Amino acid sequence: MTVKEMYGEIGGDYEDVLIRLKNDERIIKYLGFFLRDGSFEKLGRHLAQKNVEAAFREAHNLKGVSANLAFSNLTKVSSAITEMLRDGKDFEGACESYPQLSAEYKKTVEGINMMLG
Amino acid sequence: MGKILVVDDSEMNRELLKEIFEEQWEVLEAKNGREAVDILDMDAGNIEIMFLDLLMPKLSGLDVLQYMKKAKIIDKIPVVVITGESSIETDVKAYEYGAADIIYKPFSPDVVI
Repeated sequence: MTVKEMYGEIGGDYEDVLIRLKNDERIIKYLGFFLRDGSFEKLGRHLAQKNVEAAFREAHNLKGVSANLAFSNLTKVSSAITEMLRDGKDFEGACESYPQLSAEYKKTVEGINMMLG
Repeated sequence: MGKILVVDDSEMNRELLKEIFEEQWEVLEAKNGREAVDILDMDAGNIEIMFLDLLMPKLSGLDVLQYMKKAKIIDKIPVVVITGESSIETDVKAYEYGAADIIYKPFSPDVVI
């Protein structure tokens, strides 16, 4: 599977990431950073512990790394959760949205791992 | 070789910035505002420019800017805020606290240069 094909599978914007990262080699380098990032796991822990401020920061981080790599679907969901957590606006809504985020995140990670072989 | 300080709790963002500058500058990295202040305490005189995220654990980017103002080093080191937060309120605060410029994430290396 090519990088472009992987982006198609996971709902990412390959053309966008190519403008910023220039070539597949660099995209693959930063996919490695994404896999190591840890924001998704920390977000889940902070939501479970009802630590709103920390959860907000991790949602914001996840939004950021997803946007860097033009993972459009994941960026959209993580952005929505970020806004729900901002100033504790809608903590319950964030928790309710977490399964959707989780599904999108897992799809993204599986796509990357399949492409990397 | 001159020094650049990159402050961001995201390893990916620190690497993106380091890649841009590492051929011509020594790139110092801080994972949060507290680490940034520690580096500034030791080496502010050698830092030519700073790239600063705002939303970080331990000490935020705005807190770092306030520290730099109190320490009278804000005029000596240009600070480029790099943020995923696009709000007028945040922008105004950053400039009031002494930021020289603001770049929004996700950024293109061409824009940073």
